[in-house]
Amino acid sequence: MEKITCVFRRSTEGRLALLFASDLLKMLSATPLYVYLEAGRSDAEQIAGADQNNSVEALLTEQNAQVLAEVAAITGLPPEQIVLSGTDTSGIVVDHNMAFERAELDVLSPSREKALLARGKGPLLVPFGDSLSALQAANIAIELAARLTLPVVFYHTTWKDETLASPSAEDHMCAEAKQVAEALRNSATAAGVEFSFVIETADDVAEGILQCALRQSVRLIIMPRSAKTTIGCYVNQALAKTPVPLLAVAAKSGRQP
Amino acid sequence: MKALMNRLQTLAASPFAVMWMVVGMYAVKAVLKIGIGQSINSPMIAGDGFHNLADILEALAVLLVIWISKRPSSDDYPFGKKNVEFFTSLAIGSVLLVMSANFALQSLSGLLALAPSVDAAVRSIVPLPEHHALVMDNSTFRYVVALALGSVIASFLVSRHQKRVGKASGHASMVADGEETAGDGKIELITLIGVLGEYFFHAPWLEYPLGLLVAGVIAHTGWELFMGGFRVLLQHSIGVEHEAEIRRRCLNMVGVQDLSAVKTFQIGSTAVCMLTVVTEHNTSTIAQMKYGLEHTLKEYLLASDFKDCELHLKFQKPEPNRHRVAFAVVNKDSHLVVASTVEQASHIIICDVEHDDIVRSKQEPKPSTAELSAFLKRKRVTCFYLFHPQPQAVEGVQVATAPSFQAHLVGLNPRSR
Repeated sequence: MEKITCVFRRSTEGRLALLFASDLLKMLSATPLYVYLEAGRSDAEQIAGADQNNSVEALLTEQNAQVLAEVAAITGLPPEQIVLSGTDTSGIVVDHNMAFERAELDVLSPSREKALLARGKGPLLVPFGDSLSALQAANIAIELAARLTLPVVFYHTTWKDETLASPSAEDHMCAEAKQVAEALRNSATAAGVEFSFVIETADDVAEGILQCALRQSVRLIIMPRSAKTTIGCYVNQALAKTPVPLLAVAAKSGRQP
Repeated sequence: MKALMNRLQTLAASPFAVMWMVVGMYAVKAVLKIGIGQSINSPMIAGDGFHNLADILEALAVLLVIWISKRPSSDDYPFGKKNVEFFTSLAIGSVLLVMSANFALQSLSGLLALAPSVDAAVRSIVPLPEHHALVMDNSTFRYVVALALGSVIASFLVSRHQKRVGKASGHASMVADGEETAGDGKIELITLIGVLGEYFFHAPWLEYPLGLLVAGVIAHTGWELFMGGFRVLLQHSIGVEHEAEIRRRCLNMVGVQDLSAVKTFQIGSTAVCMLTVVTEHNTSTIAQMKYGLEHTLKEYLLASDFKDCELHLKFQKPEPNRHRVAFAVVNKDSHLVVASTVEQASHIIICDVEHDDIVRSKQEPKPSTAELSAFLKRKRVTCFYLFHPQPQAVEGVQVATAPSFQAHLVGLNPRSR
């Protein structure tokens, strides 16, 4: 969580995302809050006049001042702790829309929640499959859990192996998923974070993840995107119906496990 | 052997088997108490035996009620007939109240008998029951003590088992009958104390003040049973504390903005909750929230005194706080920009706002400056936006600074998911 960026939008979801991001920063004692604002130079040119007071530069400066004042009023952060930025490609972006639009970014959709722990403390959930991409998500979760003293739940759902009679879902896991589970266990143990595993054979993967999150009063789902998935992305399926805030971790974020 | 033990355990946990055991206990007690009571000329012991005969009828009535309550639900009785149990609570509560009043009067008349002049004075005003002193000699003492002690132990043990099985199986009538059996045990204990007091200390009066105390305890139990049945039959809420916890759990669920209605009542041992949840989420997210709410509420209610629960969740949007705002815009080649001044604008966009979001907008040609105020008022616009630090005033309409000149950033031209 080295950098948190919010997208300025004058809408309910935009305001909630700003509140969520600023609250997260306050909890992590981290500053500043980066706010992504498209400059809109071509738009400014449309309404710029010949006089000095209405030049393109003056309009852009005025826009920055107005946005800064509005963000400060919404978040309660002093203006010096808010940085308006024209780029959005590093760190975690807190936004409702971008989670659907920008798979190449790490985007946290607050799902209309005002704050991470507004409804009390609860665990972070990291779903994992048979791919090492879960380790990237787990790293973020473990770091956040350690800083906020929250437990982590690692979730896996598997198809039943029809050749096995065992009622235990764990016995039906494939070897690769078991290796990922072991790596997750080692990471969490090394970080000294409280953790648990939920393994089941859910009918629907995205619903299984969300239902586990709701049963366990999870406060944030941290889901890795898969670079190999072409159709039926579980992250997008979960995003479409989650009431729990969800951080979609990009497949190629450069973060190494 | 193991199979026999399992069978016995199953039998001990069966409400029907337990109630037949209660019938058996009262039958033995009635025979012994009536027999010994008449042989030692003790109307108190013999009377208690006749009271036990009435208890047998009560236990048979409970058996019938349990059988009825177990009948499956039907179109005419969608919740089944579980509430019949609470008629028994009402009846047994009433019986206990009458029994406690009768016992209190007997104890009071025993106390008054110690002071004959006061007794005569009181009886001249209030018709108290006749006091019967215990008639007992050395040869009958041990039988009387054995009977009283055996009755006390049997009553307390059977009552405890009855209440445990009643709670586990969700039969309120059985729990109520268990309370009645415990009440009998307390009265029998006082009788025993009276017998021992007379024999060892020649102080039979000991039982009377204790009797008054026990009458109070029984009256309290009777009142609780009566009110418990009364509340359920009149569909009283399941309780302020339960409703507060239900509210707390709902508000802790992600996505829930508020609870606009909480209605609860009880049918048999089933809690029924009808909740109206306020949320801004869409249908597919609401389906997940419903799962979460049902899970947490079921977990709580089943951990409380309820055997089952029926949850009826209704979801509604918050008040939309509908109003209209307008933006002065420059529309050039279908490219929208918020204007700095009215003069600069080519159009006025009228926006319907719900839940603080623009849900519909309509672009109108800009009226003349002189007509702008009337135009905005006619459109019922409450706030007019320009991108200028000191926007020019428009008479009768609030004018504000748009935070950006970019249309999509102020909610115009929304980008859909």
